Amino acid sequence: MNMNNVNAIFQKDLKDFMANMSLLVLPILPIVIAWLYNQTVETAGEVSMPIEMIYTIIAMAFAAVMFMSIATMFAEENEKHTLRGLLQSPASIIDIIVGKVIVSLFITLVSLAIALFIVDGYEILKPIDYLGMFLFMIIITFMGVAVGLAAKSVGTVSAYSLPVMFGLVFSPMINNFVEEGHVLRTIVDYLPVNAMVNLHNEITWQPILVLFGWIVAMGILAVIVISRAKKDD
Amino acid sequence: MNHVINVSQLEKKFGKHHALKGIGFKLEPGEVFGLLGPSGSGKTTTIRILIGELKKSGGSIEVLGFGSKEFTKNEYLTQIGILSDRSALYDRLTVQDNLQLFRRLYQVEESVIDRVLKDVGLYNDRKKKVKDLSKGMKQRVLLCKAIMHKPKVMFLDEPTSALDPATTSKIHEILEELKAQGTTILLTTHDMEEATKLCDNVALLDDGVFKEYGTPESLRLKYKEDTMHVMYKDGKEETIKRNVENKERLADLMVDENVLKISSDYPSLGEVFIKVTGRELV
Repeated sequence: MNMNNVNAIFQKDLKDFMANMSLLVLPILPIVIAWLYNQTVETAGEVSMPIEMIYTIIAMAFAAVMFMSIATMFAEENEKHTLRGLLQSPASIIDIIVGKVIVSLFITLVSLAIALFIVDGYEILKPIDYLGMFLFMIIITFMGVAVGLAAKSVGTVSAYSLPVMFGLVFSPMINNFVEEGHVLRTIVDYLPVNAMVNLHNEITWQPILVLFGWIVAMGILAVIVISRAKKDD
Repeated sequence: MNHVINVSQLEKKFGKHHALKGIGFKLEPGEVFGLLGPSGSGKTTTIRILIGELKKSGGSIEVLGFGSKEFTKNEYLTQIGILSDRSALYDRLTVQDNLQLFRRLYQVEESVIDRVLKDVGLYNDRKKKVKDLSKGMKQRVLLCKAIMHKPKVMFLDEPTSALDPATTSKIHEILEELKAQGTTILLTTHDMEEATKLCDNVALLDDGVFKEYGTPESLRLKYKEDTMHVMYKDGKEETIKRNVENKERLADLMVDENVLKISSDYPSLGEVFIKVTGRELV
């Protein structure tokens, strides 16, 4: 990895992000959801927000902001044939990925920090939650790179992102209306956001293993897609 | 003589389709070489193999001493410049921001951007967003991107295709300057005037094989007809064979006041192509 190249890609992508209205609205979503949830909790007279709701906001930040922005940036490079130009320059695919991920991560963290501030999330979250979020960030990075490079257009990313959004963002909510022991609940326990919720509720190795399993699976997927993107035959 | 590009028996297959059937050529430093042929003849495939976008199916290639397996290395990529119809810019960014990205990647001085923009006549448009530029202006920005790191070899795939005459002329001017500076240029075109004007050597490529190879002048001479074409003031035209029998007739025509023009049937490169392949250049 060449830091000069990473910096060049980062500066270009940050400017492009700021000029792209469809990406600029993404960081607003978790903030709006956080405000709405906060209003709901206050109206209901609850003392604090349930952890499932907090994790819906966290998942929204990573899925709607980080995943969508990484995937959209790569898909747009594919669609407009600019990725080929970068690959034919001294920049390696790793430089390009890291440059884009830093832009997305920066925007995501700003959005998430504001959203958590609105819902007093910092008082509810434990140190172990930040480990879970770090592992989740790696999963989302691999997922965004894989989907973005595989998609030939921005429109395709939107189609791919729907199941990701539903599967990730709303999976903690299933715990609220499905009884313990139900097969659906067992399945969602293996989804990364539920693993983070479980890690918050009870510090055991199982949720960490689930998250590592997702990292390995998404990492393999990303490596396959990256190696295909480098070839054009 | 060390050749900058050395291609021998190059083959490329896409499934059952044999796109290149064993072509070969050598380029000397500072040479401008034109691959001429209609769409689908294998011109772009040749360039895409030479810039590492496609893998060859057979034969050998060497560019600047690098073998085809090294075409993705930075040491190679920093010595070549590429301009093709697949090259693109970032629409939402300004001309300057687009060039700034590649200036940083190639690690060239900041002042290079202003210099290349002045060279292509776009310095005053440097703050414009790319989406607001015309096709010709975008092509000139892409040329800036391709030349800003002073490459030793330029690969140009249809560099003036569908451009206005003024932009075409400007691009030709820059390519002639690059040639004068010793840059080796491989270009594909189906514009025969462009090839005649710019190229030291050309190859007529049809269906994946070289039908002819040589200087534009030598090919035109090889396929010239032994006839003279006479055009009269009343609109009539006549073709006369150039031989001893017609010697006096041609001499008389030279002083005939009714004659508007007498010209030798010296074929253009396009006409040579049709004679060689029996196909139009489209």
